[in-house]
Amino acid sequence: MKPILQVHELAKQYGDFTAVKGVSFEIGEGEIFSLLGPNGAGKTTTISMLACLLQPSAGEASIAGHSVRREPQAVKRLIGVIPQDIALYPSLSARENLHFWGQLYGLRGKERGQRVEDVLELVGLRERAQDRIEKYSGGMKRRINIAAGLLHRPKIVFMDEPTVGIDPQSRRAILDMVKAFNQQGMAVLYTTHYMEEAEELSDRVGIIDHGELIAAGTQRELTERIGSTETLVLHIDESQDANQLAHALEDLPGVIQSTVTDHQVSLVTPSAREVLAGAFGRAEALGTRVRSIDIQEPNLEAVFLQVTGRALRDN
Amino acid sequence: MKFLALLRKELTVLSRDRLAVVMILIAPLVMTTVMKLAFGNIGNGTNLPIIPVAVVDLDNGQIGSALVNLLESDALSDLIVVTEVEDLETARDLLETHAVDAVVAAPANLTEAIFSGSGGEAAISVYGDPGQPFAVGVVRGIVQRFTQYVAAGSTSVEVTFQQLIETGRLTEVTHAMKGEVGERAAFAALESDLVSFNEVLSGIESVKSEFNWFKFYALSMASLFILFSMVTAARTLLADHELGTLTRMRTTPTSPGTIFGSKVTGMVLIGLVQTIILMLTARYFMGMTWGDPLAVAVLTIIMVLSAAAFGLAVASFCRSTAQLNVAGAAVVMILGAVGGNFMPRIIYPEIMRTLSLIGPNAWVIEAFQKVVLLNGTLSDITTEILALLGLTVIFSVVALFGLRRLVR
Ligand SMILES: Nc1ncnc2c1ncn2[C@@H]1O[C@H](COP(=O)(O)OP(=O)(O)O)[C@@H](O)[C@H]1O
Ligand SMILES: [Mg+2]
Repeated sequence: MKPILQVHELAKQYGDFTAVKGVSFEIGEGEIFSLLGPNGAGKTTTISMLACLLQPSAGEASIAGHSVRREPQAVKRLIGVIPQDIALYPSLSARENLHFWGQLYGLRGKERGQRVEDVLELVGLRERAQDRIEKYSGGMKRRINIAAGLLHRPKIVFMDEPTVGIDPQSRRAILDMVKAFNQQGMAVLYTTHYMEEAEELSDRVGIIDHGELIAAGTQRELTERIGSTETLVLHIDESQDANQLAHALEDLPGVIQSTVTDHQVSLVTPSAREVLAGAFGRAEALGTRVRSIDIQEPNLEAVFLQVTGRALRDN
Repeated sequence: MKFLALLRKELTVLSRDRLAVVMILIAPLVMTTVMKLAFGNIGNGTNLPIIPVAVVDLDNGQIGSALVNLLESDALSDLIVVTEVEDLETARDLLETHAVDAVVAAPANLTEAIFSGSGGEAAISVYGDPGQPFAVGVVRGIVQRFTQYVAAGSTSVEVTFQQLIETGRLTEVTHAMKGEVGERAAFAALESDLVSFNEVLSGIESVKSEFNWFKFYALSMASLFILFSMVTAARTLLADHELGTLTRMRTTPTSPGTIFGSKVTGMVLIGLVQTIILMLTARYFMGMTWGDPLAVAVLTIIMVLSAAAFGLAVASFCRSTAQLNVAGAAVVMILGAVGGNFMPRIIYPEIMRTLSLIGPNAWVIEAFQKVVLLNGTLSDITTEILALLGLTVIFSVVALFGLRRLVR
């Protein structure tokens, strides 16, 4: 597959602090690549350097062969950057906003008019296009926010955690939109700290933590790395101490790793069935009531847990 | 193309912003109308109350008596009424008992001091009743004109001596010589050169007869509201930052110069439109006359430029639009008070008058007064124009430095 984006040892330093520590990866034409990592991992910093908003401290990145350092104007013509927060003019209508952003992408006349209608169609807001953005619901604003980044048919679209803090319905709409415009041939660089989103969307996933790209590959490649482990999740009452239980389960025979997320204790194990009885026994001994359990097949969460030693949603 | 798109967006967004429309169009028109209703019927200077003044001539030289003659002349008789007194104590008593509003004192040896070249030590003093700032300001204005005139006269004597020495026709000039010849020259200049002497009078005369509160406020409002509206327009730059639209623009293939240039162009256009509407309204609906068109046009353009730079400089100190709304209004009001938008600066004490020159509005008012009230032309306001250009440069540099943080 021909790469559209190539990143080589890209790094960003803020004073003494290194936010991104030399990451390297590639995204192929038409591919969806997710950067999966917790808050503070360096996702926004990385994407900002690729969007020419931030000067890299070291390393190189290029879009279709154009360096982000030396040819930012050429790069900007090829990328569509979708800001995490709505970046539109509230007092302009959706259509006025789109025409404005289209003009900044250099679209003219009929072509622009056509593209504006196309993206309105794509995000399903053609009938409301003449309304001012300030009259829109949050979800509708987000859809126009995305549409504005697609007007010039970018080769690759950057989306930085587009679903943070929004309702499940809007989230669904956004994920479906990503798939829809990807179908039209645009590659996607998608950052998230939600494992399910990375799983649902991505052709390939990069796991990033503390500014380092720890692992990258297809989901199958990644899960194969951790072998045939399962994750046993114990859901306990809110009133009870999950940390105490996790600690008690650490040395249970068959448990590789024991971690706490909210009111859950996750155990990585070769066989969930075999540790189940022992886990219940220790919980009872502590007086902790287990409300329900889940047994999960190898997934990205488990991969993250194993390569970083922490749960993705610790924070 | 992109520039026009940005400019159009700028104007559309502002036209849909209620606060901006009020600040930029409605408020100045309302204020000017109020000024017309309040001051429109107060006619020319003849309606000003006659100001009682005491004069003390301790000089007993030609300049002292020229000053007394000037103050007592017919030309000023409908502006001031003069009592000559023997000494300063008597004059101060009159001032303290409110019998006069101001005292003008020519110090001993004034004539000699000025024409022997050490004029600085012996200056004419004006003491005023603090309760009568306007009256004191008028008297101070008259004395100032007189002093300027005398200074010009003594300089010409100095130059003449210099030429005589340089051409070898005179080898040594003593103080006494200077004093003697200078005295005679000055006397001639003041007393017999009626043409120039009349200039002093006619200058004062025209201030007096042309001074009109409505005209003053009309030009003053123009120079005040341009500051308000440019601060308001500069707000859109911070708004773009807050909305994330500035960052978004930077992800498109659009140069920062185009983005910033369109912003400034938008501000200048809005400023020009505001001022022209204000001027035309005052002209056609309120009987205002604006004076020499070329001078007014040049002054208007430089006023708008300096105000735009000022607005951006103020914005560069503010973290948010909310902060700018409050800080901007406060700064403009203070500058308005200091710069003489509410009261003619002539009545301010010397130090305040100097201090006020840090703001563009004081220069604008000064220049407009020369053009509108004194029928001045472009050549009469070069100092003000240059000062405004200088301020524009300073504000722009401050703004550029401060606003760089928005693109980091
Ligand atoms: N301008 C900055 N100055 C200093 N540190 C920063 C700056 N921006 C981000 N960081 C730090 O860099 C790290 C990575 O941040 P970021 O890229 O925003 O992470 P993410 O998007 O994955 O949550 C964080 O620890 C953050 O605090
Ligand atoms: Mg982030």
